Amino acid sequence: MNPKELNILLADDDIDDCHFFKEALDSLPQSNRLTIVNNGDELMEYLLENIERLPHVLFLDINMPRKNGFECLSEIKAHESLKDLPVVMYSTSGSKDKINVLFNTGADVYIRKPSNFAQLVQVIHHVLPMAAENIFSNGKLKYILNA
Amino acid sequence: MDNTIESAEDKLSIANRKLLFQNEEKEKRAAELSIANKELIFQNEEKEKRAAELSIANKELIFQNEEKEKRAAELIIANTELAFQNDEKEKRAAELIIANTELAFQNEEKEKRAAELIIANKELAFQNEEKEKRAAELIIANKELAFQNEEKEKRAAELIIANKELAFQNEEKEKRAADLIIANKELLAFAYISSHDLQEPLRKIQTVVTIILENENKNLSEKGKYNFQRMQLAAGRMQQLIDDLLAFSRINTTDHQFEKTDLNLIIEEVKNELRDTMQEKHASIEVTEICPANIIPFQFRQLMYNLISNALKFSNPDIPAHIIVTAAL
Repeated sequence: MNPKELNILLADDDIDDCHFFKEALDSLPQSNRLTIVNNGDELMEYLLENIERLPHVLFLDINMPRKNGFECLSEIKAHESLKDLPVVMYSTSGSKDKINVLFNTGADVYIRKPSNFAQLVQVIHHVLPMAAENIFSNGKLKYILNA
Repeated sequence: MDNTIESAEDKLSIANRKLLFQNEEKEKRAAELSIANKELIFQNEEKEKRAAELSIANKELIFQNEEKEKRAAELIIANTELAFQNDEKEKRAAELIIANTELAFQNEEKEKRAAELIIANKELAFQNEEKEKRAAELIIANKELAFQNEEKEKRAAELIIANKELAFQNEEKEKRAADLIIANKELLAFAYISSHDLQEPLRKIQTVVTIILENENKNLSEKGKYNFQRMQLAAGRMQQLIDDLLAFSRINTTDHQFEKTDLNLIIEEVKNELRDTMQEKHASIEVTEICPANIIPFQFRQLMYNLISNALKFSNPDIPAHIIVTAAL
Protein backbone atom coordinates (compact mmCIF):
# COMPACT_ATOMS: atom_id res chain seq x y z
CA MET A 1 0.00 0.00 0.00
CA ASN A 2 2.73 2.41 0.98
CA PRO A 3 6.00 1.21 -0.54
CA LYS A 4 8.09 3.97 1.01
CA GLU A 5 9.93 2.98 4.15
CA LEU A 6 9.64 5.76 6.68
CA ASN A 7 12.17 6.91 9.25
CA ILE A 8 10.18 7.39 12.43
CA LEU A 9 11.55 9.03 15.58
CA LEU A 10 9.83 8.44 18.93
CA ALA A 11 10.71 10.57 21.96
CA ASP A 12 9.24 8.95 25.09
CA ASP A 13 10.71 8.13 28.50
CA ASP A 14 8.14 5.40 29.24
CA ILE A 15 9.54 1.96 28.41
CA ASP A 16 6.07 0.39 28.18
CA ASP A 17 4.79 3.03 25.81
CA CYS A 18 7.90 2.62 23.66
CA HIS A 19 7.27 -1.12 23.59
CA PHE A 20 3.59 -0.67 22.65
CA PHE A 21 4.51 1.79 19.93
CA LYS A 22 7.09 -0.59 18.47
CA GLU A 23 4.67 -3.51 18.60
CA ALA A 24 1.94 -1.45 16.92
CA LEU A 25 4.38 -0.34 14.22
CA ASP A 26 5.45 -3.95 13.68
CA SER A 27 1.86 -5.03 13.17
CA LEU A 28 1.44 -2.59 10.28
CA PRO A 29 1.61 -4.08 6.76
CA GLN A 30 4.53 -1.86 5.65
CA SER A 31 7.91 -1.86 7.35
CA ASN A 32 9.42 1.30 8.83
CA ARG A 33 12.54 2.23 10.71
CA LEU A 34 12.01 3.30 14.30
CA THR A 35 14.49 5.29 16.38
CA ILE A 36 13.72 5.89 20.07
CA VAL A 37 15.12 8.61 22.35
CA ASN A 38 14.17 8.72 26.04
CA ASN A 39 14.26 12.39 27.00
CA GLY A 40 14.19 15.94 25.59
CA ASP A 41 17.93 16.54 25.76
CA GLU A 42 18.60 13.32 23.90
CA LEU A 43 16.00 14.27 21.29
CA MET A 44 17.48 17.70 20.54
CA GLU A 45 20.98 16.21 20.45
CA TYR A 46 19.84 13.54 17.97
CA LEU A 47 18.08 16.03 15.72
CA LEU A 48 20.99 18.45 15.60
CA GLU A 49 23.42 15.59 14.83
CA ASN A 50 21.18 14.29 12.02
CA ILE A 51 20.17 17.63 10.59
CA GLU A 52 21.02 16.38 7.07
CA ARG A 53 19.00 13.14 7.45
CA LEU A 54 16.01 14.13 9.50
CA PRO A 55 13.28 11.51 10.16
CA HIS A 56 10.03 11.70 8.19
CA VAL A 57 8.04 12.26 11.36
CA LEU A 58 8.57 12.78 15.09
CA PHE A 59 6.22 11.31 17.71
CA LEU A 60 6.77 13.47 20.80
CA ASP A 61 5.65 12.68 24.35
CA ILE A 62 5.02 15.65 26.63
CA ASN A 63 5.97 14.46 30.11
CA MET A 64 9.66 13.70 29.85
CA PRO A 65 12.58 14.38 32.20
CA ARG A 66 15.17 17.14 31.61
CA LYS A 67 13.39 18.79 28.74
CA ASN A 68 9.69 18.21 28.25
CA GLY A 69 7.88 17.77 24.94
CA PHE A 70 6.51 21.29 24.93
CA GLU A 71 9.99 22.83 25.29
CA CYS A 72 11.31 20.53 22.55
CA LEU A 73 8.43 21.51 20.24
CA SER A 74 9.15 25.22 20.82
CA GLU A 75 12.85 24.74 20.02
CA ILE A 76 12.16 22.66 16.91
CA LYS A 77 9.64 25.16 15.50
CA ALA A 78 12.01 28.06 16.23
CA HIS A 79 14.95 26.32 14.51
CA GLU A 80 15.48 27.23 10.85
CA SER A 81 16.46 23.71 9.75
CA LEU A 82 14.05 21.77 12.00
CA LYS A 83 10.87 23.80 11.71
CA ASP A 84 9.49 21.77 8.76
CA LEU A 85 9.79 18.44 10.60
CA PRO A 86 6.27 17.01 11.10
CA VAL A 87 5.61 16.71 14.84
CA VAL A 88 2.94 14.38 16.18
CA MET A 89 2.33 15.05 19.86
CA TYR A 90 1.72 11.77 21.71
CA SER A 91 0.49 12.09 25.27
CA THR A 92 -2.08 10.97 27.84
CA SER A 93 -3.48 14.41 28.56
CA GLY A 94 -6.95 15.23 27.22
CA SER A 95 -6.98 18.91 28.17
CA LYS A 96 -8.24 21.02 25.27
CA ASP A 97 -6.41 24.12 26.53
CA LYS A 98 -3.12 22.27 26.55
CA ILE A 99 -3.77 20.89 23.05
CA ASN A 100 -4.55 24.39 21.72
CA VAL A 101 -1.28 25.72 23.15
CA LEU A 102 0.57 22.87 21.39
CA PHE A 103 -1.13 23.64 18.07
CA ASN A 104 -0.32 27.35 18.45
CA THR A 105 3.31 26.42 19.07
CA GLY A 106 3.43 24.42 15.82
CA ALA A 107 2.36 20.82 16.56
CA ASP A 108 0.79 19.15 13.48
CA VAL A 109 -1.15 16.31 15.07
CA TYR A 110 -2.19 15.46 18.59
CA ILE A 111 -2.70 11.84 19.57
CA ARG A 112 -4.03 10.92 22.97
CA LYS A 113 -2.38 7.64 23.96
CA PRO A 114 -5.13 5.01 23.66
CA SER A 115 -5.73 2.26 26.19
CA ASN A 116 -6.61 -0.21 23.48
CA PHE A 117 -3.91 -1.76 21.31
CA ALA A 118 -6.10 -2.00 18.22
CA GLN A 119 -6.81 1.71 18.46
CA LEU A 120 -3.11 2.47 18.76
CA VAL A 121 -2.39 0.49 15.61
CA GLN A 122 -5.23 2.25 13.83
CA VAL A 123 -4.15 5.74 14.81
CA ILE A 124 -0.51 5.19 13.78
CA HIS A 125 -1.72 3.65 10.54
CA HIS A 126 -3.80 6.77 9.93
CA VAL A 127 -1.04 9.28 10.66
CA LEU A 128 1.94 7.72 8.85
CA PRO A 129 0.70 8.25 5.25
CA MET A 130 0.08 11.92 6.07
CA ALA A 131 3.62 12.21 7.44
CA ALA A 132 5.04 10.45 4.36
CA GLU A 133 3.54 13.07 2.07
CA ASN A 134 4.16 15.82 4.64
CA ILE A 135 0.68 17.22 4.09
CA PHE A 136 1.18 19.22 7.29
CA SER A 137 3.70 21.59 5.68
CA ASN A 138 0.98 24.00 4.56
CA GLY A 139 0.37 24.50 8.26
CA LYS A 140 -3.36 24.65 7.80
CA LEU A 141 -4.45 21.22 8.94
CA LYS A 142 -4.48 20.25 12.58
CA TYR A 143 -5.62 16.87 13.78
CA ILE A 144 -6.72 15.63 17.13
CA LEU A 145 -6.80 11.88 17.16
CA ASN A 146 -8.53 11.21 20.41
CA ALA A 147 -8.50 7.48 20.87
CA MET B 1 -128.37 189.11 11.90
CA ASP B 2 -131.04 189.48 14.24
CA ASN B 3 -131.12 185.85 14.76
CA THR B 4 -127.56 185.83 15.74
CA ILE B 5 -128.20 188.57 18.33
CA GLU B 6 -131.26 186.86 19.57
CA SER B 7 -129.43 183.52 19.70
CA ALA B 8 -126.62 185.17 21.61
CA GLU B 9 -129.15 186.78 24.04
CA ASP B 10 -130.75 183.34 24.37
CA LYS B 11 -127.48 181.77 24.99
CA LEU B 12 -126.55 184.38 27.59
CA SER B 13 -129.83 184.00 29.27
CA ILE B 14 -129.33 180.20 29.38
CA ALA B 15 -125.75 180.67 30.67
CA ASN B 16 -127.00 183.13 33.30
CA ARG B 17 -129.57 180.79 34.51
CA LYS B 18 -126.93 178.02 34.56
CA LEU B 19 -124.64 180.30 36.52
CA LEU B 20 -127.33 181.16 38.95
CA PHE B 21 -128.02 177.53 39.40
CA GLN B 22 -124.38 176.82 39.82
CA ASN B 23 -124.08 179.59 42.31
CA GLU B 24 -126.87 178.26 44.31
CA GLU B 25 -125.36 174.86 44.15
CA LYS B 26 -122.00 176.26 45.19
CA GLU B 27 -123.51 178.05 48.13
CA LYS B 28 -125.13 174.84 49.10
CA ARG B 29 -121.73 173.16 48.60
CA ALA B 30 -120.05 175.88 50.60
CA ALA B 31 -122.46 175.40 53.42
CA GLU B 32 -121.81 171.69 53.22
CA LEU B 33 -118.11 172.41 53.10
CA SER B 34 -118.34 174.70 56.12
CA ILE B 35 -119.96 171.92 58.03
CA ALA B 36 -117.37 169.54 56.68
CA ASN B 37 -114.75 172.08 57.66
CA LYS B 38 -115.94 172.29 61.14
CA GLU B 39 -116.01 168.56 61.20
CA LEU B 40 -112.50 168.49 59.78
CA ILE B 41 -111.37 171.05 62.35
CA PHE B 42 -112.68 168.84 64.99
CA GLN B 43 -111.18 165.87 63.41
CA ASN B 44 -107.96 167.86 63.13
CA GLU B 45 -108.05 168.68 66.75
CA GLU B 46 -108.68 165.08 67.50
CA LYS B 47 -105.92 164.19 65.22
CA GLU B 48 -103.58 166.62 66.85
CA LYS B 49 -104.41 165.16 70.19
CA ARG B 50 -103.89 161.76 68.70
CA ALA B 51 -100.68 163.01 67.09
CA ALA B 52 -99.46 164.24 70.46
CA GLU B 53 -100.33 160.94 71.90
CA LEU B 54 -98.70 159.26 68.99
CA SER B 55 -95.63 161.45 69.38
CA ILE B 56 -95.31 160.34 72.93
CA ALA B 57 -95.99 156.84 71.88
CA ASN B 58 -93.51 157.35 69.06
CA LYS B 59 -90.80 158.47 71.39
CA GLU B 60 -91.50 155.49 73.48
CA LEU B 61 -91.36 153.37 70.38
CA ILE B 62 -88.15 155.06 69.25
CA PHE B 63 -86.62 154.25 72.59
CA GLN B 64 -87.96 150.81 72.40
CA ASN B 65 -86.74 150.62 68.87
CA GLU B 66 -83.29 151.70 69.87
CA GLU B 67 -83.30 149.16 72.63
CA LYS B 68 -84.46 146.65 70.17
CA GLU B 69 -81.77 147.65 67.70
CA LYS B 70 -79.16 147.32 70.42
CA ARG B 71 -80.67 144.03 71.31
CA ALA B 72 -80.79 143.13 67.65
CA ALA B 73 -77.14 144.04 67.25
CA GLU B 74 -76.30 141.95 70.23
CA LEU B 75 -78.46 139.21 68.78
CA ILE B 76 -76.74 139.55 65.44
CA ILE B 77 -73.40 139.10 67.15
CA ALA B 78 -74.78 136.30 69.22
CA ASN B 79 -76.37 134.89 66.12
CA THR B 80 -73.14 135.06 64.16
CA GLU B 81 -71.43 133.33 67.03
CA LEU B 82 -74.15 130.73 67.13
CA ALA B 83 -74.03 130.32 63.36
CA PHE B 84 -70.29 129.74 63.62
CA GLN B 85 -70.80 127.36 66.46
CA ASN B 86 -73.53 125.72 64.43
CA ASP B 87 -71.24 125.32 61.48
CA GLU B 88 -68.61 123.84 63.70
CA LYS B 89 -71.12 121.56 65.22
CA GLU B 90 -72.37 120.54 61.81
CA LYS B 91 -68.83 119.78 60.70
CA ARG B 92 -68.30 117.90 63.91
CA ALA B 93 -71.63 116.16 63.39
CA ALA B 94 -70.61 115.21 59.85
CA GLU B 95 -67.35 113.90 61.17
CA LEU B 96 -69.20 112.07 63.86
CA ILE B 97 -71.55 110.60 61.29
CA ILE B 98 -68.58 109.31 59.32
CA ALA B 99 -66.92 108.14 62.49
CA ASN B 100 -70.16 106.59 63.54
CA THR B 101 -70.58 104.80 60.25
CA GLU B 102 -67.06 103.56 60.56
CA LEU B 103 -67.67 102.44 64.13
CA ALA B 104 -70.89 100.79 63.09
CA PHE B 105 -69.02 98.92 60.37
CA GLN B 106 -66.25 98.00 62.78
CA ASN B 107 -68.84 96.93 65.24
CA GLU B 108 -70.48 94.65 62.70
CA GLU B 109 -67.13 93.20 61.79
CA LYS B 110 -66.36 92.69 65.42
CA GLU B 111 -69.66 90.99 65.94
CA LYS B 112 -69.02 88.71 63.03
CA ARG B 113 -65.53 88.02 64.32
CA ALA B 114 -66.94 87.46 67.76
CA ALA B 115 -69.44 84.99 66.28
CA GLU B 116 -66.63 83.25 64.49
CA LEU B 117 -64.53 83.28 67.62
CA ILE B 118 -67.39 81.77 69.54
CA ILE B 119 -67.64 78.95 66.98
CA ALA B 120 -63.87 78.57 66.94
CA ASN B 121 -63.85 78.61 70.68
CA LYS B 122 -66.40 75.85 70.84
CA GLU B 123 -64.38 73.86 68.34
CA LEU B 124 -61.22 74.45 70.34
CA ALA B 125 -62.98 73.50 73.51
CA PHE B 126 -64.10 70.28 71.81
CA GLN B 127 -60.63 69.63 70.48
CA ASN B 128 -59.22 70.40 73.85
CA GLU B 129 -61.43 67.79 75.40
CA GLU B 130 -60.46 65.30 72.73
CA LYS B 131 -56.83 66.12 73.30
CA GLU B 132 -57.19 65.66 76.96
CA LYS B 133 -58.77 62.28 76.37
CA ARG B 134 -56.02 61.44 73.91
CA ALA B 135 -53.41 62.74 76.33
CA ALA B 136 -54.84 60.48 78.96
CA GLU B 137 -54.70 57.57 76.53
CA LEU B 138 -51.18 58.53 75.53
CA ILE B 139 -50.09 58.63 79.12
CA ILE B 140 -51.34 55.08 79.50
CA ALA B 141 -49.77 54.04 76.20
CA ASN B 142 -46.59 55.80 77.21
CA LYS B 143 -46.40 53.87 80.41
CA GLU B 144 -46.95 50.68 78.44
CA LEU B 145 -44.25 51.68 75.97
CA ALA B 146 -41.88 52.60 78.77
CA PHE B 147 -42.44 49.15 80.17
CA GLN B 148 -41.96 47.53 76.79
CA ASN B 149 -38.89 49.68 76.24
CA GLU B 150 -37.37 48.45 79.42
CA GLU B 151 -38.14 44.90 78.38
CA LYS B 152 -36.60 45.55 75.01
CA GLU B 153 -33.53 47.08 76.52
CA LYS B 154 -33.14 44.01 78.65
CA ARG B 155 -33.66 41.88 75.55
CA ALA B 156 -31.22 44.09 73.60
CA ALA B 157 -28.62 43.65 76.29
CA GLU B 158 -29.16 39.90 76.07
CA LEU B 159 -28.97 40.07 72.29
CA ILE B 160 -25.73 42.06 72.44
CA ILE B 161 -24.25 39.32 74.53
CA ALA B 162 -25.66 36.66 72.21
CA ASN B 163 -24.44 38.67 69.22
CA LYS B 164 -20.91 38.82 70.57
CA GLU B 165 -21.05 35.11 71.08
CA LEU B 166 -22.30 34.64 67.51
CA ALA B 167 -19.68 37.03 66.15
CA PHE B 168 -17.07 34.97 67.89
CA GLN B 169 -18.57 31.75 66.57
CA ASN B 170 -18.82 33.36 63.14
CA GLU B 171 -15.17 34.28 63.15
CA GLU B 172 -14.34 30.77 64.16
CA LYS B 173 -16.52 29.46 61.37
CA GLU B 174 -14.95 31.80 58.85
CA LYS B 175 -11.53 30.62 59.89
CA ARG B 176 -12.80 27.06 59.63
CA ALA B 177 -14.36 27.82 56.21
CA ALA B 178 -11.11 29.35 54.99
CA ASP B 179 -9.27 26.25 56.23
CA LEU B 180 -11.85 24.08 54.50
CA ILE B 181 -11.50 25.98 51.23
CA ILE B 182 -7.76 25.46 51.35
CA ALA B 183 -8.21 21.81 52.33
CA ASN B 184 -10.75 21.39 49.55
CA LYS B 185 -8.42 22.85 46.95
CA GLU B 186 -5.67 20.60 48.20
CA LEU B 187 -7.98 17.61 48.01
CA LEU B 188 -9.02 18.49 44.45
CA ALA B 189 -5.40 18.97 43.47
CA PHE B 190 -4.60 15.65 45.13
CA ALA B 191 -7.52 13.98 43.34
CA TYR B 192 -6.33 15.40 40.04
CA ILE B 193 -2.70 14.38 40.48
CA SER B 194 -3.44 10.95 41.94
CA SER B 195 -6.03 10.08 39.33
CA HIS B 196 -3.66 11.28 36.64
CA ASP B 197 -0.96 9.06 38.04
CA LEU B 198 -3.36 6.13 38.42
CA GLN B 199 -4.36 6.46 34.79
CA GLU B 200 -0.96 5.54 33.46
CA PRO B 201 -0.54 2.02 34.88
CA LEU B 202 -4.22 1.32 34.18
CA ARG B 203 -3.84 2.34 30.54
CA LYS B 204 -0.92 -0.05 30.30
CA ILE B 205 -2.91 -2.93 31.82
CA GLN B 206 -5.64 -2.23 29.28
CA THR B 207 -3.21 -2.08 26.41
CA VAL B 208 -1.52 -5.33 27.46
CA VAL B 209 -4.91 -7.04 27.77
CA THR B 210 -5.84 -5.96 24.26
CA ILE B 211 -2.46 -7.11 22.94
CA ILE B 212 -2.92 -10.53 24.52
CA LEU B 213 -6.52 -10.83 23.33
CA GLU B 214 -5.48 -9.92 19.83
CA ASN B 215 -2.12 -11.65 19.42
CA GLU B 216 -2.66 -14.70 21.68
CA ASN B 217 -6.26 -15.26 20.76
CA LYS B 218 -5.73 -18.78 19.42
CA ASN B 219 -3.57 -19.82 22.40
CA LEU B 220 -6.27 -18.98 24.96
CA SER B 221 -9.06 -21.28 26.13
CA GLU B 222 -12.60 -19.96 26.03
CA LYS B 223 -12.52 -19.61 29.84
CA GLY B 224 -9.25 -17.70 29.60
CA LYS B 225 -10.68 -15.40 26.97
CA TYR B 226 -13.77 -14.81 29.11
CA ASN B 227 -11.67 -13.98 32.16
CA PHE B 228 -9.54 -11.60 30.12
CA GLN B 229 -12.71 -9.91 28.92
CA ARG B 230 -13.91 -9.55 32.52
CA MET B 231 -10.55 -8.02 33.41
CA GLN B 232 -10.88 -5.67 30.47
CA LEU B 233 -14.36 -4.61 31.65
CA ALA B 234 -13.15 -4.04 35.22
CA ALA B 235 -10.22 -2.00 33.92
CA GLY B 236 -12.65 -0.02 31.77
CA ARG B 237 -14.79 0.61 34.83
CA MET B 238 -11.73 1.77 36.75
CA GLN B 239 -10.77 4.04 33.89
CA GLN B 240 -14.27 5.49 33.94
CA LEU B 241 -13.94 6.16 37.68
CA ILE B 242 -10.59 7.84 37.19
CA ASP B 243 -11.95 9.95 34.31
CA ASP B 244 -14.89 10.95 36.50
CA LEU B 245 -12.57 11.76 39.37
CA LEU B 246 -10.51 13.93 37.03
CA ALA B 247 -13.64 15.65 35.78
CA PHE B 248 -14.82 16.13 39.34
CA SER B 249 -11.52 17.68 40.36
CA ARG B 250 -12.00 20.19 37.55
CA ILE B 251 -15.52 21.07 38.72
CA ASN B 252 -14.59 24.23 40.57
CA THR B 253 -12.50 25.52 37.69
CA THR B 254 -14.87 24.69 34.85
CA ASP B 255 -18.65 24.86 34.67
CA HIS B 256 -20.91 21.85 34.93
CA GLN B 257 -21.42 20.62 31.39
CA PHE B 258 -25.02 19.57 30.95
CA GLU B 259 -25.61 17.34 27.93
CA LYS B 260 -28.75 15.94 26.40
CA THR B 261 -28.16 12.26 27.10
CA ASP B 262 -30.10 9.06 26.42
CA LEU B 263 -30.63 7.56 29.87
CA ASN B 264 -31.09 4.10 28.33
CA LEU B 265 -27.45 4.12 27.26
CA ILE B 266 -26.28 5.06 30.73
CA ILE B 267 -28.41 2.37 32.36
CA GLU B 268 -27.17 -0.15 29.79
CA GLU B 269 -23.55 0.73 30.68
CA VAL B 270 -24.29 0.35 34.37
CA LYS B 271 -26.02 -2.98 33.72
CA ASN B 272 -22.93 -4.26 31.88
CA GLU B 273 -20.67 -3.17 34.70
CA LEU B 274 -22.88 -4.92 37.25
CA ARG B 275 -23.49 -8.05 35.17
CA ASP B 276 -21.64 -10.45 37.54
CA THR B 277 -23.46 -9.25 40.64
CA MET B 278 -26.78 -9.39 38.81
CA GLN B 279 -26.15 -13.00 37.80
CA GLU B 280 -25.27 -13.92 41.39
CA LYS B 281 -28.47 -12.36 42.70
CA HIS B 282 -30.56 -13.60 39.77
CA ALA B 283 -31.56 -9.97 39.44
CA SER B 284 -33.39 -8.33 36.58
CA ILE B 285 -33.73 -4.70 35.67
CA GLU B 286 -36.87 -3.34 34.11
CA VAL B 287 -36.58 0.02 32.41
CA THR B 288 -39.80 1.84 31.50
CA GLU B 289 -40.66 5.23 30.11
CA ILE B 290 -37.14 6.59 30.02
CA CYS B 291 -36.54 9.72 27.98
CA PRO B 292 -33.43 11.70 27.06
CA ALA B 293 -32.52 14.22 29.78
CA ASN B 294 -30.29 17.23 30.20
CA ILE B 295 -27.71 15.92 32.68
CA ILE B 296 -24.04 15.88 33.61
CA PRO B 297 -23.34 12.40 32.19
CA PHE B 298 -20.52 11.23 34.48
CA GLN B 299 -22.39 12.33 37.61
CA PHE B 300 -25.61 10.72 36.47
CA ARG B 301 -23.82 7.49 35.52
CA GLN B 302 -22.28 7.40 39.00
CA LEU B 303 -25.69 8.05 40.55
CA MET B 304 -27.34 5.21 38.63
CA TYR B 305 -24.42 2.89 39.39
CA ASN B 306 -24.61 3.64 43.11
CA LEU B 307 -28.41 3.26 43.22
CA ILE B 308 -28.48 -0.03 41.33
CA SER B 309 -25.47 -1.57 43.06
CA ASN B 310 -26.94 -0.63 46.45
CA ALA B 311 -30.28 -2.11 45.42
CA LEU B 312 -28.49 -5.35 44.56
CA LYS B 313 -26.31 -5.29 47.67
CA PHE B 314 -29.22 -4.89 50.08
CA SER B 315 -31.74 -7.16 48.35
CA ASN B 316 -33.09 -10.27 50.02
CA PRO B 317 -30.75 -13.08 48.80
CA ASP B 318 -33.60 -15.64 48.86
CA ILE B 319 -35.75 -13.73 46.39
CA PRO B 320 -34.55 -12.79 42.90
CA ALA B 321 -34.15 -9.01 42.87
CA HIS B 322 -36.30 -7.09 40.43
CA ILE B 323 -35.24 -3.48 39.91
CA ILE B 324 -37.60 -1.09 38.15
CA VAL B 325 -36.23 2.12 36.69
CA THR B 326 -38.82 4.62 35.60
CA ALA B 327 -38.93 8.34 34.89
CA ALA B 328 -41.46 11.09 35.46
CA LEU B 329 -41.51 14.81 34.97
